[in-house]
Amino acid sequence: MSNGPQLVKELTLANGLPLKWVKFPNGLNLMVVENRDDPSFVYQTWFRVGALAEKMDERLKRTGLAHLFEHMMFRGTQRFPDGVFDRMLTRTGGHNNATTWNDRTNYYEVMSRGNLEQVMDLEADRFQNLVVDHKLLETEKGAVLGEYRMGRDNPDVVAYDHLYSTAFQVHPYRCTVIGSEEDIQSFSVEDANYFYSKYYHPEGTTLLICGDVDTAETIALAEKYYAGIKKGGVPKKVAPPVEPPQSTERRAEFQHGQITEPKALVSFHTPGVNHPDMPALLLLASLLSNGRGSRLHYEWINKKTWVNSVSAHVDQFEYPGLFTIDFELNPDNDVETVLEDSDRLLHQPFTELELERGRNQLLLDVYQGWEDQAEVCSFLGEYLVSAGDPLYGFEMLEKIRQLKLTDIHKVVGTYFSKQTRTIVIGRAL
Amino acid sequence: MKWITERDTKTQLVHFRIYFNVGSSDDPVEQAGIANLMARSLLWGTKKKGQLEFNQEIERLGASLSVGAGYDRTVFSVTVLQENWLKFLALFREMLLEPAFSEDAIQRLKTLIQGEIQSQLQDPRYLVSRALTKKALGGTHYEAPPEGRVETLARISAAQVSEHYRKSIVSNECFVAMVAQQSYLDQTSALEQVLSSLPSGKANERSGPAFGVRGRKAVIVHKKEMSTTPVFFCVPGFADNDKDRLELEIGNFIFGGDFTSRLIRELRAKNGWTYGASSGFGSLMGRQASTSFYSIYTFPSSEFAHLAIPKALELFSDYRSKGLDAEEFEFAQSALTEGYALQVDSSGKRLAWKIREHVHGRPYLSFDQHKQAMKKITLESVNQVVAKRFSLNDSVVAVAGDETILKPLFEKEKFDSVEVLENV
Repeated sequence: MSNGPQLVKELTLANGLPLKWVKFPNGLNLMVVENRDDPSFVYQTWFRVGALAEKMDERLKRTGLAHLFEHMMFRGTQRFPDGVFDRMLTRTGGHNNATTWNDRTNYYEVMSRGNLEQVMDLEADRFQNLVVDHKLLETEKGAVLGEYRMGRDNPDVVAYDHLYSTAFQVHPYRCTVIGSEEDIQSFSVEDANYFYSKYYHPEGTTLLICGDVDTAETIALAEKYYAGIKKGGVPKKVAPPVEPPQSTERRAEFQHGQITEPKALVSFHTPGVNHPDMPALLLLASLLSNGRGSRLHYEWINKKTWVNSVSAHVDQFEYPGLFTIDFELNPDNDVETVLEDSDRLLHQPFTELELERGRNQLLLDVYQGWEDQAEVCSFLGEYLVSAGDPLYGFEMLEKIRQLKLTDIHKVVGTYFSKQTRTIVIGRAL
Repeated sequence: MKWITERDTKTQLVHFRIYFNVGSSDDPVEQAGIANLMARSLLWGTKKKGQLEFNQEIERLGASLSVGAGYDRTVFSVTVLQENWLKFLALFREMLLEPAFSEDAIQRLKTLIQGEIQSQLQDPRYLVSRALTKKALGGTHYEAPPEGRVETLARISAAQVSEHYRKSIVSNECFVAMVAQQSYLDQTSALEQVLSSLPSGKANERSGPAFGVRGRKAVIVHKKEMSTTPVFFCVPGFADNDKDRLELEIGNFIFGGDFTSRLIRELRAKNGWTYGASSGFGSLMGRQASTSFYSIYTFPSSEFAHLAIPKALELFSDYRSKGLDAEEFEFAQSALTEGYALQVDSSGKRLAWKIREHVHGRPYLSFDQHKQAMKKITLESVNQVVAKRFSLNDSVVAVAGDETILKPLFEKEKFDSVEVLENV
């Protein structure tokens, strides 16, 4: 067996850019999208571990560690102590950050060309050699609690927390990614080290690099810096409990000091991202709220002036998620009237004109995203972790192009019922 | 007509923006918000098409169209699938030349914008930025936000909106910025024809927002039960084309302009008091051709506000009096020189620089030109500029939180006045 990387796939993406995907013997995937038009590149590291894992892990069973740990990944190794990682990248003009979500953690750098080796050196180092220091962990908890409290002051964040904890009774999607204040405070250095040694392995991890890089040189550098990382074994995936079907409407209400007018979320259970109905659900969201000519925008904002904002969106998670309509009332309007109308507007058949409009608005959004290198990477990375295939987004777009009105009406009939919806209403104190 | 263009070899879209020389700073004080109301009402139908029909036709072409007024300009922003660009222009022409401005539509739009104004105040950062600009720009045409106020919008009629449009959306006072593949950039005459059908008119003259407070003033928006304490602090700022702009940017990078800055290191990395802290030149009013503001923003956990706010003020005072050290200077110079590549690495970003050059007079430099300019800057010149150009005598701080805790804090910090507001 060869010790070098094996070619997995080589193709031209639908956005016209070449992709080369290789896999190293230790299980690490590398995807390079070469685009020499502009003198910069984006470097993303996708770990297939997120907030879901901490809740399914027998030893942890708490919330917020995946996110707190992501913060600690910036606080030093033996070779590059606290602060050095950021300073080295910043000195060469780049910037970096990370995001944690239910099914994944993504670390990224945006750099000017010529700095690829430096990024690889730094990223490969913290991949293997992180040192979690007690004092720094305690200080970082303060920053994370600051982020948590910023969310508490935002009524939208609070509303969504209520939504997921109400719509899901047993599935861990009911917990927040950032975690509870009590859990965040409780994590120790041992917990962080346990999480690092259990979940940060080359198997299942993917480097996604897009921009002004040479593909062959990138693969050679990855071999130099990453091929020596030992396999750690893929942790046994513990399937989360299956959410039982919802048979009656659920409601949650809350009051918030920042709210001026009532806001509401109405939500329906939908399948995971790989389900064949997902393209129709995505298009339905566009038909409902993408653009001023969309059904909800026109009816509620422009015609009746009941609300000042409305959006519809569907989760594209690995496991079943939610389709949510989110709106905020204008003064002197009644939430119940809008909720009643939502049912009418969802079930009223759509026209061919609405279908064409919604489809073109969705395509427009995707094409706009492809003009940004970071979004190209994320388009591949998000589907890699949620659907198990980085090219799934392109496949989905092709399916969306083929959808007919009957497909839309079918998903409306399948997933949208007053009996299975969850409603969250936020009001002023 | 001025055209600013950038070629993009891979895009499947045509992007263009049209800038008209009218904004909210031209609004009569009692009709604050009329420019923005006029701009947005263009999307509420034409004389031939109702609102739904008009927007559905635009959107079925795979186009997005938005119109809005800022302080000094009204901007039409368009993105359209390139194969539909000419079809889109026919609808765009109809919107520009035959807007409906119906009484009913204007009334509904006013209700909508009034709701949006209330909604924005839920955002703690926006809340304190409003309190601050109200204090610092009180009595000027920049005091009200571009969307106006609930009470001023109520006074505006459809006839006044129509008249405002006739006077201000004029062909000789606009410029166009566009990104597309070359073959579409070659078709600009189609858009030029549409714009030349507009009447010509008189140019608006204005001086831009300028800091108008003497002394040290504090404003507290009294809010109980907040988990964080959002705080904006500002002093007189600098024009975008200021002769010392590179020195000021190097200084700011070290003080609060980057994640490695002193503000972040002290308030977040060392003490864990806040999730974020930053400083900059355009955070409050956007970058301006006028002096505007230099500001600091942070939002410590409320339990640490009494520590974080004095520390931020102390850091700023130290920055002004002591400047940077040699290591900091070399670090910032390197970061900003190399990082400039990321500011010019896409057609959209290059276009934005060209627009800035046209509007503010700030020269658009290539990567190499910028590198040469940065090489000429020295530590001494940065520290001289920082010491000379920043004044601590005149400043405003705005904060949202519990007045019983915050008022003594600002009195201790020796602010000349501490004003408490129930809302903004």
